[in-house]
Amino acid sequence: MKTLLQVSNLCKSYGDTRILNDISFKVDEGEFVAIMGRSGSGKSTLLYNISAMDNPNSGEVLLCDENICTLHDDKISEIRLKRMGFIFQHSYLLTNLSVRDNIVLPGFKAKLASREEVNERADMLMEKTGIINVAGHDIKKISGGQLQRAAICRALINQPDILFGDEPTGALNSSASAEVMDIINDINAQGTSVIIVTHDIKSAARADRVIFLMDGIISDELMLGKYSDDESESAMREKNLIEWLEVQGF
Amino acid sequence: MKAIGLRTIDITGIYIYKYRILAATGAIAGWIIALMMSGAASRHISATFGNAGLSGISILLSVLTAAIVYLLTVYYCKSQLKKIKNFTVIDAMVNGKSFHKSKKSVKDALHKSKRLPADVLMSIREVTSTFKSWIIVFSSVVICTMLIMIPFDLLGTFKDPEFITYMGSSKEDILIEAENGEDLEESYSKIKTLVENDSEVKSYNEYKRVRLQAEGADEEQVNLHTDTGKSAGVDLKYLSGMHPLRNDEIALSYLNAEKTAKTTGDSISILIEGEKQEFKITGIYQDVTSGGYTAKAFYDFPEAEAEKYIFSVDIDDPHYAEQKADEWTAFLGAGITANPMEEFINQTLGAVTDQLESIVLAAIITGLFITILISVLFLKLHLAKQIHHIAALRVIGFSKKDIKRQYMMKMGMITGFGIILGIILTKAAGERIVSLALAISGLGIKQVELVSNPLISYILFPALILAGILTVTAAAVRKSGDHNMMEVIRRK
Repeated sequence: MKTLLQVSNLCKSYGDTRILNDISFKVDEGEFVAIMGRSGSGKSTLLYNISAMDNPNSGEVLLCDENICTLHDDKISEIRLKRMGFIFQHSYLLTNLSVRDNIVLPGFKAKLASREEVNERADMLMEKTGIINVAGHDIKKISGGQLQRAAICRALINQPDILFGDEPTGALNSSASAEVMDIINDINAQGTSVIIVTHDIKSAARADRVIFLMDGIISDELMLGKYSDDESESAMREKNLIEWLEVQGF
Repeated sequence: MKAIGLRTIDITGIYIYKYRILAATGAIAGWIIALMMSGAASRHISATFGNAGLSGISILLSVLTAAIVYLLTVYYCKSQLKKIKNFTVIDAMVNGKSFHKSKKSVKDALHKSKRLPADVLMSIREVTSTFKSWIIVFSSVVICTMLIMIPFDLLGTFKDPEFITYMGSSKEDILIEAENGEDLEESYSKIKTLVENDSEVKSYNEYKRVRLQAEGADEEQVNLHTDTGKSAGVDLKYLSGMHPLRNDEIALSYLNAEKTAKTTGDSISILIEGEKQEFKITGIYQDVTSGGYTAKAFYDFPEAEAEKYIFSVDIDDPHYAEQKADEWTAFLGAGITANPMEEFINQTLGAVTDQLESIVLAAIITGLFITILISVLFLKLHLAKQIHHIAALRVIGFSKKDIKRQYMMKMGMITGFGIILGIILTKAAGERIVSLALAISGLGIKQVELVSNPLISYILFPALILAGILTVTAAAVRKSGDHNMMEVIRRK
């Protein structure tokens, strides 16, 4: 497998407080990585630093061999637009646009395809995620689960190389969480790399690999392998993960 | 404050007393500054046309204006603070909802656009869907446009050759005047001989200025400075009626009509050698000379002593008016002046137009300063409120440059719409506003037709306002996309 993202010696401090301490790891093309750890361990800080939404104090983040930490804002914005997708705990959709308009906006901005093609892809994504019936709705008038699915559609409109998720199921109930994670697994199965930060064991158990972060350093990693929707296999993955997390003191 | 147990009335009180003090201080300070400035700004106007004095209505209007500003400000603050009542602690602290709840559903339309760039689409969407939040900048641009254009158009009117019609005179090339003196009749004969015999004179009109006593309202005696003669008042623009055509007819200036409480078609009693004679009022015209109290009569009142003789002369080639006027002044000697009409206007109105120029300059500076100040304050608040919206755009790939570009477009659109409405309102109401102000000022003009310079009014001033606002917008949004996205997102 070819390496998509290479993180080397990443350090991040706020004032005198060091949050990330010499972090190094890599993510292959098509890999699904979950980052876990206690509150304050630096999970989200790591995610935002490797996705160029924050600047590390030292170290480098190579996306396809290009160090994204040293790029000009215009260039890094273009990478966020065309090669990265983001989903957060809250959907972070724009309140003055409808569901469909929120999804097509990055497509129109990126100009990677014609407007017709962007609209067709948005319809396809909404169909796939089950929100086509609320496409023209005001985002203030749809449920949390629908909002999160719309955010996923928006993140995928430009067919990114990598999808970043910060607690993507954190604000959802268990059934909505499972639906959202099903979609993320589907996307990953189609070749998009995924990195999520989560507290949720069920969500993390769907990843190929789990990284455990403690006090700003990677304390351990667990290989789970590719996810399948077989119930007994899922239960086994969750059991293995729980046992491993207990060893980590989670 | 709600969370720690303060009652809504207590929270409202904390704010409303602050706003009452601020609004009252602002209104009183503005009123005092306006009083101080108006004296300086109208010094030459008073010197030229006379001082109408402080009328009750002008004092009342100025106090009323300051009071309205105060009341409107307090009313708006109160209406906003009422929302505290319906706002729960959960809304503010947990759901992160803002004070303003939009009831309007958003339009599902952006995806239908075939060509417009995403930045333009977003700018249009934000301006149209949240226009109410931009109303402060929009209104200030409308007011600024009017504040600049109306005085400028008034200046254009004063400088226009047609303004002579507001001065109770006709539009000939040269004006010859023989002022009061012992040998006035001799001067008259001299002028008459000259204009009759000069081969370059195309035509001329002569008037005799007399002072008549008329009976005004409540049988009060009114002095009428009357220009008499067969052409008296012929070329003037009349507010109503027309010039006198018969010996028993007279036209009154607007201020004399007001003073005598007469209107077109009424009769007025004039004392001639101690006897009252009735004259029919054929028309009312506007005049800013002689304090605005003049009249025009067809009958030449041989019984009355002349105060002045006026000849308005057209010559074959008007280009030589100045040369001809100099030649005649030298020939006619002391007590008689011959001036090209243009110079007469300049002599009479030069100081006033200079003063108006200062007022226009002050209006441009004040208008721009206020609009720019409001725009900067608005942008600071707007950017603070929109921090999550900006972060959301940054996350999906809009660069800092894109965010700045969008703000420039949004402010450009708002300013453009404001300027257009300002121009429309100036065209629709400018003349009425100026006429009302002039009528109150007692200058002798009730109705004025504003003359504008299209190049300056429709291109230069709008460009100046737009450039001013876009410059401060560029400065204000310089760091708009610099927030740490991670902090903003995690704070939500």
